[in-house]
Amino acid sequence: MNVGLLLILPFTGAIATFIAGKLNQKYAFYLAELIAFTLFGLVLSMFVSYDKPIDVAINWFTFGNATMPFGVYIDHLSLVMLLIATGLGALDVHFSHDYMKEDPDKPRYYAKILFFIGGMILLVSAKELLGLFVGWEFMGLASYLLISFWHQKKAPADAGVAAFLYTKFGDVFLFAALGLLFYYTKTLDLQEINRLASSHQISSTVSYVIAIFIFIAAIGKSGQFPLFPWLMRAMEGPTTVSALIHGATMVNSGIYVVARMFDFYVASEALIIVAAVASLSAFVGATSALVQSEIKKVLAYSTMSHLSLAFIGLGVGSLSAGMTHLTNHAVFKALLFLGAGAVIMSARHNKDLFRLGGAWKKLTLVGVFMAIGALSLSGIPPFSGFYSKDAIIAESILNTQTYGLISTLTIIAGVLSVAYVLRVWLLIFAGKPRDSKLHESVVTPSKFWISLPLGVMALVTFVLGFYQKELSEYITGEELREAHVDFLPPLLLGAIALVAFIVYKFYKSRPDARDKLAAQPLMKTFHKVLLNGYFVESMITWFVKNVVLNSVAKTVNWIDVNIIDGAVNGAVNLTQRIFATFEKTHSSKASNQAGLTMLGLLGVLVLVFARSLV
Amino acid sequence: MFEIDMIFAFALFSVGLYGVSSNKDFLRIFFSLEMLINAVILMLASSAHYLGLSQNLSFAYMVMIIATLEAAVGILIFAAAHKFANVIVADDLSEELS
Amino acid sequence: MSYEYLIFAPIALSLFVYLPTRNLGGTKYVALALFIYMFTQTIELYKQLPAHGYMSLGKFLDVRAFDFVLTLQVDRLSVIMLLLTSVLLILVTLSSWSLAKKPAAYFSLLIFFSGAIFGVFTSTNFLWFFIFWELTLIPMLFLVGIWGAEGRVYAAIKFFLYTHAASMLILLAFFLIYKQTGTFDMTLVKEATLATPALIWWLMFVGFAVKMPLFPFHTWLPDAHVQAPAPISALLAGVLLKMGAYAMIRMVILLLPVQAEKYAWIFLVLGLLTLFFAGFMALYETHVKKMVAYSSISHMGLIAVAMGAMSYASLSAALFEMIGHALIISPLFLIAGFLHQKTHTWEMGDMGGVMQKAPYLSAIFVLAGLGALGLPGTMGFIGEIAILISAIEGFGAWMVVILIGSLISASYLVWTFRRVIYGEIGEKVANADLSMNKAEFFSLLIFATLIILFGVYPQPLFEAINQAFSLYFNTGATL
Repeated sequence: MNVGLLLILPFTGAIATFIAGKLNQKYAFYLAELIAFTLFGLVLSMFVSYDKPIDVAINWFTFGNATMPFGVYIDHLSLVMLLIATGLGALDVHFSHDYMKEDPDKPRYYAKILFFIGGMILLVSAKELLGLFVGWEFMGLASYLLISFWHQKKAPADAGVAAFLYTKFGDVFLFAALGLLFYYTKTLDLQEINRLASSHQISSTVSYVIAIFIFIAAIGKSGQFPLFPWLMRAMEGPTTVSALIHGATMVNSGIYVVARMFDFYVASEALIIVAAVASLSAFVGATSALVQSEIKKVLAYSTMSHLSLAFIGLGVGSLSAGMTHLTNHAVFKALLFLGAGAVIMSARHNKDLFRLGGAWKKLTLVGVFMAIGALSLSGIPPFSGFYSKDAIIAESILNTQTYGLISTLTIIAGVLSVAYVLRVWLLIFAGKPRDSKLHESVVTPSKFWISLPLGVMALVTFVLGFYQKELSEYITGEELREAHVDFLPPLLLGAIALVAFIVYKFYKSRPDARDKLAAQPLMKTFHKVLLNGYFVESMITWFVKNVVLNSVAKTVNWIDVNIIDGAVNGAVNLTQRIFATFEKTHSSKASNQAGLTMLGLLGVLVLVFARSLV
Repeated sequence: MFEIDMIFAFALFSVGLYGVSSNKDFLRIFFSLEMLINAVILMLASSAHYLGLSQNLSFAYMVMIIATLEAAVGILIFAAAHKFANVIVADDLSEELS
Repeated sequence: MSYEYLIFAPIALSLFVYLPTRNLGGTKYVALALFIYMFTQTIELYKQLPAHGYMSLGKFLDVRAFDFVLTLQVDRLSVIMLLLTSVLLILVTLSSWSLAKKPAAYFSLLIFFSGAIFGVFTSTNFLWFFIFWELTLIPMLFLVGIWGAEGRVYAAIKFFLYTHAASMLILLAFFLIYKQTGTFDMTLVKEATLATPALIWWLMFVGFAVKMPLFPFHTWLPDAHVQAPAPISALLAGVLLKMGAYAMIRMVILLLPVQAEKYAWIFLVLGLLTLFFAGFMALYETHVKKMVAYSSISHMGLIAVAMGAMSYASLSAALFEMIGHALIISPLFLIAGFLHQKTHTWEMGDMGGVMQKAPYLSAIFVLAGLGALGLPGTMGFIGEIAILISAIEGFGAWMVVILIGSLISASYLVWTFRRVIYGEIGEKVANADLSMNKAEFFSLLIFATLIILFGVYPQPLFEAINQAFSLYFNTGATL
């Protein structure tokens, strides 16, 4: 059956790829490519032949009289996510052929990529929260393994640890929500939970708490404020990994889980929290992206910001806006990441924006496709990004609760997108090369392996722009309520144009004006704050190091060594001291010993004859 | 009577306990250990006689036999250790072995 | 086949194996063969067990004078423990394959130990249970004290005296039972006939809590584990701790249910304290084997919490986690000990980059570590989710705090990966020869396979476990 194959193939394929790769490195790629495209084909066939949701209920294990289920449920929402995951996965594997060409660890890489895709498939096909959690954790593991893929070096190894622990913090909340849901609703079936919530059969405080818990997990996984630093550190991994996992699929799982439990969230009235936190994240992400000097960090912050926009879409009550933005974003973000990968690869793995420049001549195709991605991200019609962004901003304005601070932050984040992406594009492709030696060594990448996937994604993001209505209706299953704030599109486009103009001036035509502005002390402080992601990471690291490690753990250690073990050793010492005083009572003088012996003998005689006397 | 025997046995037991904890000589510790065992045997025998717990008599025989065997083995070990390392003090032996 | 020889034969045979093989060599083959035989016999025993109920292995030494009858009886719970023990014995023997120092004595002591531990799990006479219980201490004393690391004498004596003192409390409880009911037979004692059930319960609880171990009685374990040779640490963690847990379930919970229900809170309190306390200790540790020891202790705390909930589901969860813990912690100990042996350092700061020199070994270490932190796909996750759900059912929604323990585990384990497995190669690692004996690696492979196998397909194990407890709980109990 298709579904079974879809679930099993990635995992068995990962093992097979690893083994095959150990025989010959080339086999690893070909097998991985075959499997990735087969998975996409399977999903495509499911999409085409879709009739009604695939619903399979299986029991996993029973302990005592509790049974844990592990079923499959694939509906429109799942299929969209599956198409994104397997489609981008296949393109990513294809791109990896050249990107990972010189790496000696190819079997491990391809096996882990397939394992990751398997985890994502598991996540979106799960019928119950348990299966979802398993897929969630699998992806976390794959992400950790792939970020620290070059584990021989310090920075990737540290980044992997950071990524795992930040997301683990969130995962604990998801696990807790799972336990609580089972306790309060006796079921883990997601559709059932949604039904129970909508018909108000779950107490409101309980559902609120559970919704917040799940959202905290989503914050961790999707890199929202304040759990975003891992996403920036994750850029230490191969760019293909960043494109697939941290641009397009794993980070979407937070949004997916909220979307999947949308009725639950509506009923529990937690959506406002979602919108609030997301708007803050969007602002932080967009502003931080403006000043980064590494290509991938800009894209990482941009991802954070756009995922926030999708969360805002959900938070203001529009499932369609959130999910369409997620879909659009997945495509153009993967495009931008892989494009950046092409640039990095050609420039001998150099990521510093300020050393590149003038790459248009040698990397023309890449430049074109990245331009398309940039246009889509900025929200320029007719590319897909425009429609979903517009919908989200419109909805946030229309929603009475979020009108005000939240919608303002949303608009700022939305408009700033053009600023940072244009900055990146100009710094890479336009003008004169800043480092001429580097420029000389740049190699034009292969058309088939590198430019083709980019072109496919650029085409998709363009075509998708014409099918936005169909997309949102497909996902939500209901007719799209066209949310329009009449003056919004022209206002947005005007703002975008203005910002673009400013950026162009600063980076292309009059960089001296930019430098003069940057030299001002206030600007310098701003720059520092933004560059370091508002120092959130420093604060969290400080907390973990000084409070958890050096205070709590240290005190616990002290208690154990000195008090508890001390009691044990103390008891032994006490006994030894008592015995030592006993020893001192022994006298070496023979006369004393004789005297004591006589006394003892007398006592014995008394006791023996006392019997007959009594 | 049973009470006298009990007092006697407890006296014997405490002397033996004092001996085990205060002596450094291996042989003296052994001697005191035998005193402890004898106190137990006395309690068993007198309870068998006075309180009518007949099975305690067989228990007392068993303890006597086992104590004899254990003393024999212990003395043998001590003799071997003495030959090996010329020690008569318990602490020295553990240092010699490790 | 009369199964009682599984207990008598090893104890008797150990001396007769030792004497000839001392000079001839080859004790490890005899031990391995014996343990494989015991394993197959245990499987036979399992097959012959009725679905619900006991099977008597016989009565021996029927001394009418006092209730000294050696009654042996197994039910599903005992047999599951026997199976786990025999598997672990085989794997521990394989892991000791390259032992150079006095192998004859080592393996003979292991054989003796196997007989004693089989006796613990099968005897239903309190006195004989106690005898076998104490008998297991003797080979452990020597195994740690002779083949251990630098501080082995201190650790062995501390381990022996501490657990022996706890056993005194247990013996006192047994004698109180004898005085109040006139019998040493477990199957005949009914709680209602006891005059001072609370005192007996507390004596047994403290005695077994030292063995499990639970906070604050845990301090013997880090020293014993660190100084013991790696396969013996695995045996200690995998079998001896489970002995305490088994006794806790049998005697404290199943034998005295009314008292257990009254004092169930102590399981919760001590279990949570153990979970967090040991977790923080592991976080602070830089000594790799001590970190694993504290991780082991914190998992036993989790098991104690599940025991405290005292429901059909929670005891099943506890038993599954017990088995999972044994299979997960053992490879961690084995590899940590192996690394020390080859690099001559315990400090994680000195190691690093082991993955680059020994990739498959590192993969197993990471897998076991992921099991310890409860990653889905490993047995650890199944145990954790089962315990979480049954604990919430038993004590309330606030039990989700045990997941903080899970977060702490993740932190120190992933940090350990970073310091030991990943990163740049440490100097000591670069100079070390990390090739492992084939037999030892084979045992690690089996551990890894079992961890994943039961993590993905736990139902067969759960069926046996559920049957073990359904005997004691009316299945009408609601979860």
